[in-house]
Amino acid sequence: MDAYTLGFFALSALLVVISMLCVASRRLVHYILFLFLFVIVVSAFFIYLNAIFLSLAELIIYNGGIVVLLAIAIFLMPEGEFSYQDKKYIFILPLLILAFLSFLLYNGRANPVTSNLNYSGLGYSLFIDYGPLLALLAITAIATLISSIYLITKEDKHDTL
Amino acid sequence: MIPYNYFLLVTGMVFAVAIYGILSRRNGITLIVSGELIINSALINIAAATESFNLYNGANYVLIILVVAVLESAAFISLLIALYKETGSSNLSKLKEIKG
Repeated sequence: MDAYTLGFFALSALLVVISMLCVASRRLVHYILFLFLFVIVVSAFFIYLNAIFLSLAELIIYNGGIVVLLAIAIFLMPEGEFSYQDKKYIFILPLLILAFLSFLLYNGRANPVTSNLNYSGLGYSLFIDYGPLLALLAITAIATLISSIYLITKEDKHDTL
Repeated sequence: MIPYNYFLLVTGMVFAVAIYGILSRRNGITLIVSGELIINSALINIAAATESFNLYNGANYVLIILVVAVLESAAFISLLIALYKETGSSNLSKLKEIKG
């Protein structure tokens, strides 16, 4: 087994274990901590796939944006621990999904991942081919920002009455 | 060389774990985090497909999906804070109390 294959299995094991720890943790702060680690492993996966720009974007956007936003949300809504639901057979649906996916993948054939793609023209392609879509995304971002500010700063209905 | 199937299998495992996280909790924050797990597994999938099929567009799609996921999370967190102001809890079962 060469180092390339070994790296894939190590990253895969880390990814699955951290996602399981994330879902199994009982405190919200631990949830955010494991999401932080998960994003780092995902960006390592992108580096493994030769997409360094994507890994940097993932780190900056997720760990710099989402995780910090979630941490602020937890500080605003202090609840501490939370419990599982009472339903006993929740795990059946994920197991069925996993079994179905494994069956499909076991029977299918696919190309090997070769990592020969050159990402040097990514910015050019993004802004030339997807320029209108990026403009639409920017407008959506502004709309989301305004609606979020409105929702958070809206006064309580009971106070105004 | 790693076959593309292996990437699909790993991301399928993460997807199944995240589905369990969504079904087993009613807290809003846990719902967001499980959704982020699903989105990230999909992103790894797309990046692996980009490399496997030597198609350049996948990287653009990954970036666009990243931005949309951030917007979705920001909007959902602001909705959660509004719910917390109304009910004093971020438990989504409390949505029944503010119905109508």
